[in-house]
Amino acid sequence: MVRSRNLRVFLLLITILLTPASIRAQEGSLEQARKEGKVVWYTAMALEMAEQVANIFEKTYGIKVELTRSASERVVARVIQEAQAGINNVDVIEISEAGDFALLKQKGLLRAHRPKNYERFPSTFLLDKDGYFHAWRATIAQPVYNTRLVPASAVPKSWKDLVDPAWKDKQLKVHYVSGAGTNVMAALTKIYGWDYYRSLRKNNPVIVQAASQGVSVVAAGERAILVEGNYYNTMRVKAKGNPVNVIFPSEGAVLVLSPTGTALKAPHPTAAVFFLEYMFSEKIQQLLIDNTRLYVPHPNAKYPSDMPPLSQLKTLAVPVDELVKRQSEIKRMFTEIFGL
Amino acid sequence: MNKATSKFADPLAQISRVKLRPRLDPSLPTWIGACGLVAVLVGVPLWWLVTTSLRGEQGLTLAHYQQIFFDRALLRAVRNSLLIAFWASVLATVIGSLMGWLVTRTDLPFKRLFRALVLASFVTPPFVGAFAWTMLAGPNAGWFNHLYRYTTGLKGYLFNIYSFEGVIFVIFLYSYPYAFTMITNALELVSSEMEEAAAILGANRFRTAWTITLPLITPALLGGFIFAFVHALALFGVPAILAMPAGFHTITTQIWVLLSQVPQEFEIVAALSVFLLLVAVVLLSLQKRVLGRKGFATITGRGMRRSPIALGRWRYPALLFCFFVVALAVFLPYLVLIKAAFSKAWAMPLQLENLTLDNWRVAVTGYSATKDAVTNTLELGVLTGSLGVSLAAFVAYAVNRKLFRGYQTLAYLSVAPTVVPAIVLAAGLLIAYSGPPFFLYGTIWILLLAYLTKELPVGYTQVDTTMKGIHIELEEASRILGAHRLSTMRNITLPLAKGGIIAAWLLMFIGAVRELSASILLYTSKSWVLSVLIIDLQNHGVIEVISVLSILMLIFTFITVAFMQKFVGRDTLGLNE
Repeated sequence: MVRSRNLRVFLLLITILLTPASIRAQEGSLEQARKEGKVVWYTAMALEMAEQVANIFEKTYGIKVELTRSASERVVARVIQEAQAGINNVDVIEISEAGDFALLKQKGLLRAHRPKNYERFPSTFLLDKDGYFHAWRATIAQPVYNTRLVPASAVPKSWKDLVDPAWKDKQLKVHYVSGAGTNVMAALTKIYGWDYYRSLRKNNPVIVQAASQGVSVVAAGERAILVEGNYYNTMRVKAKGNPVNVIFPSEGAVLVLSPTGTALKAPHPTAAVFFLEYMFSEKIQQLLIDNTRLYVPHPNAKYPSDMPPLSQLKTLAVPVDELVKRQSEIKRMFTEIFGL
Repeated sequence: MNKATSKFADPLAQISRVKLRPRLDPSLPTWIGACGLVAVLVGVPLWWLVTTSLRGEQGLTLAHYQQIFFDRALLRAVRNSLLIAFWASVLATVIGSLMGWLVTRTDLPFKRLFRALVLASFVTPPFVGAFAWTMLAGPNAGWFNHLYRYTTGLKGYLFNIYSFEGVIFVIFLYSYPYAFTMITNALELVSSEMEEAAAILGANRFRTAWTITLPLITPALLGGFIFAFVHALALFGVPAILAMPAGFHTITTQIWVLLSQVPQEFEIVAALSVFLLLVAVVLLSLQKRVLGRKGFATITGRGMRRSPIALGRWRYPALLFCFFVVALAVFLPYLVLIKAAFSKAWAMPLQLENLTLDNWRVAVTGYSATKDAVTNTLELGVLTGSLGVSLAAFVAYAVNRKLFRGYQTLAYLSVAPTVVPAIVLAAGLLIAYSGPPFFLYGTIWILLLAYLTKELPVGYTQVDTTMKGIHIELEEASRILGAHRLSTMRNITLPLAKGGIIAAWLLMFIGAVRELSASILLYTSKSWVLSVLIIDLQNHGVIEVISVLSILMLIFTFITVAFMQKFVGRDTLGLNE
């Protein structure tokens, strides 16, 4: 017994000595994070997947994740509202619209943190030069259609095709509170101007609050086409056996990056950083690809063959500062054209 | 104390000196406390709303009110709200009173059953109904439109629920019980003498109904119309589910959107809220005048027993009509909810491989918010019922026993929240309690404040009615024996008023459980409630899971109603969303 205990102590010592200092520091912070009890995460990610990410974190580290999912702009409004009321509730914030996220930085509500391997991330994912927020995932916004309601020959090939009156009463459009909605509007008005949306309005689209909601409406056959669907959600719904598919429009699909950062006054600061590092860790980043078909910044990420590599896709991405600049214009014009 | 008792004052005083400890009567501070609490509950949020709506860059301004009438989008929302409320309440009044007349005055079969079914439409939260109707009459996947295409072989759709008409229709389905209740109450009180006189003079039954009964119940009709109108104006859930996807706002959804975007526009929200409040106040005081008019003196006493009007060959068409209305409001929505709750995909046909119990598992354990929502909802329901009933009992007692000067003001204050639309109250609470010195936003306590305020009139009216029926003699006996007001109230009055108090508790509980319009502005990730979760999950498209949660909410409601019927034996009244 004595011998084996000595052996264990020895092995432990060896392990500690051989472990790189950085990992030990992380273990120290894990203890601290556990003491803090939990981490509060506001996200715009589709609920099912966000729950999955949260569950794995809980199982791995024994720290509870308190999760709130809402449309991008609502998340930001909530964070600002709480800050104004003196409520420090949120630790980690993640949405799908960089323009709104920049507002949080501007208001001084964020704490800068550069995750590990930061310097090896593709530059597209580095959204803020001061390191306040980075994209931990990206998806492509693109039209989605119901394969039973739209015969192969009639599938639209471009964004331009969607304004065809043949689609009257058959479309869904996403509101600007959603990241997908804003990003696509910003990208398409650069090509076609607001007249594109005025024509789209004539098709009488139903307005939904989130792309994920839109995909399930199309899956149920309530509408034939969702103008701004997103790839990852559609793949999830499709995998369940629903008749949906994505369209890669000739003008290019729109890259939607999801900025992530920690709150300046996070009530669980160590757990917050720990969770952020976890989000950018190789394991979770690979999981985002494997389980949810998202694109990620991690340099070691491996993509399955069914996913078109980002480098080969024709994408339209809108730079952050442009999103910030055009935000009020997009809201105003959307309200003017679609009445909401 | 009167003369008769003063004779015995001396020995009684001795007894009390021996047996009871000398004490201060704690009654007065209690009454003042209750009074102050009611004033704060109602006054603070409204005060903040008014001041915020007038707040300008420098000093006071009316610019925000001006904006309501000059900003095209806001003006459109106001117009939509008024039009929807108008048509929905016209429909509700016509259909509701027709059904009311059929059920009270004619030989319609299954009358009791129809009363129960009207009650079921009454307690169904309108947003649950709206959600169910998206599955029934969505233009492409909705049951009705499938049926339409299948039977006619045509393309397109018969009815699109995501439309102006759709919103009107669904609001009507859940507000006709207001008119129904008003009319049945009035008809039961109308004395039948004049109707009999008309009959003797040779008028047939329908002519009598048209020329005598209808004019007699006109005030009740108008009253029911106004009540339904104000109710429709204040609804949030139905337009949130049906109007926003169709691309238009009402005042309530507009308020919500203005508060949930960046930057939040508190001033305009406050101005819109005050406007909505003014409309409600004007209409309800109008209603009070109409109903309180003494010109219709025949509606005073209990009408005599009378033989029901024979409908003759109209009997079965009338039955069919009543059945049709309750089918639209209750049967079909419940059916589609149940089907969706047990399906893998709600739009798929009902086959064995499409059946699953998994939605129930996901609804209960799948989302971290669900458990919180159910717990919070029940907790808030119980707290609202218990605190609300205590407050209502104190107030009703103080008012009925005229304990101090100005008791009428207290009575007035207690029913004042009736005229405040829930979303307006919530906007006021949000502004009042989310900064220093009260940090209530982000807790369930701000929701409790909202529910208490909103349900106070319901509880108060209920307890007040009961207390009116309790004779003062027993209380006097207790007081003579040396008990002070509070212990008298505890030992004598409350036990006598038990039935009314249980009813008030249950009514306030249901009101809190189904509350949406105020909760949607006040919830945070720390204070989920079931109704908000149902609305929120719509954005995630998990229709089957929402169906499960809706059914859960209906189960809570119906259990409470069943309790009420069992213990109190009384129909539920005065429920709002």
